[in-house]
Amino acid sequence: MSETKQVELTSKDKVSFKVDRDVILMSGLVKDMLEEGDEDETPIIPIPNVDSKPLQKVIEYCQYHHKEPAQEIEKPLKGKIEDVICDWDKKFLEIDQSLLIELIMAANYLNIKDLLDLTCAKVASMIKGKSPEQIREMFGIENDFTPEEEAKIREENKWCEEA
Amino acid sequence: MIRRLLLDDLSLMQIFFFLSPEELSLRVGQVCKQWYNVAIRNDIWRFMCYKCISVSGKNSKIGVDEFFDRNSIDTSISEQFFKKAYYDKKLKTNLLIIRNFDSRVTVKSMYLENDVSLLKYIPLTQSKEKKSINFTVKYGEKPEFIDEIIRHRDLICVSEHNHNYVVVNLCEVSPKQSRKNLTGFKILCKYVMKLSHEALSKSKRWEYKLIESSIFIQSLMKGQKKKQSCYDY
Repeated sequence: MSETKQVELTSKDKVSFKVDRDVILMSGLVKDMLEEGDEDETPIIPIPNVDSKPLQKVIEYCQYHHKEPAQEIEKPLKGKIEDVICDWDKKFLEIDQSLLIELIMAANYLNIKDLLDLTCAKVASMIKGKSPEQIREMFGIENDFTPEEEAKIREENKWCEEA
Repeated sequence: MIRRLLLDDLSLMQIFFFLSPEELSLRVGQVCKQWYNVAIRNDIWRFMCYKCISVSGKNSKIGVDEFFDRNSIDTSISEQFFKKAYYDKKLKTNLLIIRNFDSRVTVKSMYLENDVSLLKYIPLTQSKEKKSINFTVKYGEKPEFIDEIIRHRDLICVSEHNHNYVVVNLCEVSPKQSRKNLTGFKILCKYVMKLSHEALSKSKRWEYKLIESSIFIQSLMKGQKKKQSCYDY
C-alpha cells in the first residue's frame, strides 16, 4: 500500500498533478516539504512558481529518471550535448526555447539537480561557438554596454585570446 | 521566433559552468551587462581554477571546496580574483620555450605598442598541442635590436609569463637537452618585463629591465611585495 502513496502538485495556473511519492522525491524541495511530517493520505503541495506546462515536463522527467539515474554531464561541456546524453533525454529536449528556459527555472526552484544540469547544458550547447552578437539575437537580448564599457571588457580579456 | 531570455543570475551561472573559460571571457561576457556580471563571478572561476589545477596535478580526487580549503591562503578575495588566477595558472603551467622562430612566425600585436622593442617579442598564443608557440615579431623601427634577437634565434625561451611579469631568456642549448627541461639551458641573459601598474594605459603598462643576476629573478618569483618594491618606477 505504502509504495503507491501519491502526492498532488498544484501549479501556478492551478492545475493539479497526481504523482507517485517516490517519483517526486527527486525534487529536493518537495522532499524537504514531505519530511516536515505531513501525514495526509495525499498531501497537496502548491508549486506557485511553475506553470502547468513546464511542471508536466518536470514530472515526465522524474518519472523516467527516478528509476534510471542520469549520467553526470561533464563541466565544462566538451563538444555537443547530444553526444553525452541518453536517447530519452535527447527526445525530452526537443522543446522550444521558452519552455526550455521555464524548465531551467522550474528545476532550480524544485531543486532537481540532474534536470537542472541537463537543461543548462542544453543552453550552454546552444551558446557554444556563437559570437556575442549571435547570442543576443538568439535570445533576444539587448546590448546594454556603452562603447567605453565594451572597450574595457575587451581590454580585460586580452590575456585569453584564443589560439 | 525571438523570445527574450529572462533568466535570473543563479540559473545563468548554472549554464555558464558548462562553458569553457575562453567562451566565458570572449563571448558570453560580452553579450550584456547581466551576463558579464555573472561571467566574471568568482564562483565560476574558482571552479575553473580547480579544474585547471586538478587536471594537471594530483588533486583530482578531492572536491572544489575541499581543494580550496586546503590550499587557499588569502581570504580577502577581490572581484575577478579567480578569473585572473585561472589565466595566471594556465600560463604558468605551460612552460614556454621558443626556438627556431623565423620570419614566417605570425605577427600579432597583443600587449603593446611600446617603444621598447624587446616587448614585441612576447609570445601570444600557445598551440593546443604545446608543440610550437607563436611569437610576436614586429619589425619595427629598431633593426639593430631585431638583429640581436635574430642572432640568438635558437636560443630564446620564455620561462614565465603571467599578468605581472614576463621573463625572456636567451640561452645556450645543447642538443642533448630536452625541450621540457629548462634547467639544462645555460641562460646567457634574462629580460624581465613587468606589468608596472594596472591603472596605466596599455601602452605604458609594460616596463622592462635587463637583468643578469638570476638571484634577482628568484626573488622576483617569490614574492609579489618584494617585486613591487624593486620595480616601482
